[in-house]
Amino acid sequence: MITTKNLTYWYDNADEKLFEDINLQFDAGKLYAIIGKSGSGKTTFLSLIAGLDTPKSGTVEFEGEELKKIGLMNYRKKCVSMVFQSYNLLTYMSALDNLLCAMAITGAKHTGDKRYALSLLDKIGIDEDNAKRKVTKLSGGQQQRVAIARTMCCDSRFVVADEPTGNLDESSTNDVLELFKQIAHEQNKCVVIVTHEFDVAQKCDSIIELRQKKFEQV
Amino acid sequence: MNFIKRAFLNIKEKKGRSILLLLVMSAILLFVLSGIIIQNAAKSAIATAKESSNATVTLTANREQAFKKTRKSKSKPTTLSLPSVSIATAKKIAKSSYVKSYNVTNSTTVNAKSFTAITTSTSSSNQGPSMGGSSKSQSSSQGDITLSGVSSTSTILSSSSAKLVSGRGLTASDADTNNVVIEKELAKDNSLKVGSTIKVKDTNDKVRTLKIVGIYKASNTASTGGMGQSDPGNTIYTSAQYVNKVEGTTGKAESVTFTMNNPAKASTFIKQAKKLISTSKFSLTTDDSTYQSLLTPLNNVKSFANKIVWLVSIAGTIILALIVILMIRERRYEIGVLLSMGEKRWKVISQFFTEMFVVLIFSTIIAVIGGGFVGNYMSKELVSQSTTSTTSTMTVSSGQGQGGAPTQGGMPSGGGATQQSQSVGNQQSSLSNLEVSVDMMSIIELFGFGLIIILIAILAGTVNVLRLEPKKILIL
Repeated sequence: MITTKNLTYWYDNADEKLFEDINLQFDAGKLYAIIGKSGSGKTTFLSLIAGLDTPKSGTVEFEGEELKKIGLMNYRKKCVSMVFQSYNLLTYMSALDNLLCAMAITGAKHTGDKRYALSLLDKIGIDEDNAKRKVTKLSGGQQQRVAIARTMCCDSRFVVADEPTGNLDESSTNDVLELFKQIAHEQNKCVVIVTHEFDVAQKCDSIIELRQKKFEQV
Repeated sequence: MNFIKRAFLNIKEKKGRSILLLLVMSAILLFVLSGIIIQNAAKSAIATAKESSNATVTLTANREQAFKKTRKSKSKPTTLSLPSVSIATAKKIAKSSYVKSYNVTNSTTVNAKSFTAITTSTSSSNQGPSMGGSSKSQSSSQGDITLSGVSSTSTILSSSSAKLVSGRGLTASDADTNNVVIEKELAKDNSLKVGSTIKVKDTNDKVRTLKIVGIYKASNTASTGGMGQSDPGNTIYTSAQYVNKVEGTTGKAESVTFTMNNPAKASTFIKQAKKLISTSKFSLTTDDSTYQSLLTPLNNVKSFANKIVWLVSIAGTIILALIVILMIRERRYEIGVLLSMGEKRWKVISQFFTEMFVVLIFSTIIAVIGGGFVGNYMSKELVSQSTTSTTSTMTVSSGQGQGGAPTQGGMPSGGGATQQSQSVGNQQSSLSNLEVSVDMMSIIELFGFGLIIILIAILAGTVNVLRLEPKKILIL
């Protein structure tokens, strides 16, 4: 589904390249974990395959088509969904509104369908009362679940998550990982998560480690 | 959920920020509106002043040229010969589109026959007017009654120096009749009333009968002009044609006064009129002092209001832009999230614009409610300051150059400066009531200003954030 070809990146003010000539492939129906030390470039790599940034050299392809050709904005809208460590929900909205908003922006099949959004939230453990509360009133675990539900309600087939369990306790971490597995296995989507926790990575289908500017299958 | 719904949701959920924006925006719009309505009121007052200040242009004999001619002449004794104005020429000039009306004035003296003229002692004993007998101070070569010929008394008898108190004034239909309007004191002392007839003797000792159709009252300030001049009560108004008849002339006048439609066009009119007269014999003089004295404070108010509008708009834009920049910095994650979901940049800007637009609507309502009060207060302050400075300037200038202007023909003579200052004073008192009101045009203008202010503020606030890629916004 996602292929990187000779992907290279460096920061303009840095002396060295962050990573070089990365050739990877991510398939649908699988949950991938990218691990590595802090500052090794995991999040930057994720930004590149999510279309949030552009590589210095090399390409990222989605189903055989270069992201540049698809258009970064179009790619973000139609092909990829993101989950962040700090959830990045729209704080002035309820959980339900966050889902409805995401569906409207991405033009998802169920745009405007409140019942569908409520059923999705219910499926991940957010009942109707909580669904209608402002997201800032929910716990960290609940907010992360809402962020995951937001990726589920959109029709994108590629999900990326940056440290999705970074702020969660063990129980919530397990719940969130279960949800990602469901998305990958039941909805046949490709899910890539970035984590620094090896325990979390071990629960994924495939682990890729970023070490000395290169990615290695673990 | 489109950007409009998101905007409304944001306004509703972030009440504190929305109220702060509302207050700031209302304060800005309140001052902009005050400026706009004062500006409009000043414009309309200038237009009214143009219509009501009655600037006049008077056509008379050119005395300066006549004096020069007399001095050049070697024959002695030198007599000043002033040419009369032809009424036919005056009619031609009056056809100009700048002329609202015109008044022909002519005067001669006659002696009272069937009644007694008022005599005034000019001695230092300060006696009041007395009846009958001869007065040592009066010139014996002149008649005791001034017959003032006019085409209409409408302007003369509605001024501050003379008012019609009984009967009617003279109009164009009184031409060639012996109808007259006499002074109240003269009528009272001789038990005359409207409908009575009086007899006068002209310089050829011919007795003429005059019919009283109206009685006017000369103001107390219209005092005697000095040595050799009759008491104002001895002025009798009649038609210019009748005065011509008494003098044995036809179609002649001492002066013709043209009242302008628009005082600002007086000089254009003079250029036009000069083509129809011989400038070596006749002169045209403008009297638009009332208009000019009104124009100065109004222009000051207008210019100040204009400055208020622009200064407040610029300051308001800067203040709002700073608030929007801070607001957008605070919401950079929201922008990042929206862009990471694939939201178009223009839609993000539109969301902010909608939020500000809603605030603008409510701010406009508040400004419209308060603008009338603030505008009224500000205009009163501005007008009082402007009129005070203008009046002091006028006092200085009139003190330096009194007595230069000729009095309008036939009007009770004397007290020219007093009359002018009274007239200016009356007009300026009406200035203190500068009509400041909020009309639909002002609201539309205000809303336009508001829209431009928020557009600039939003563009200034968002340009820095929106030009970045979502990742950079999220890690800012």
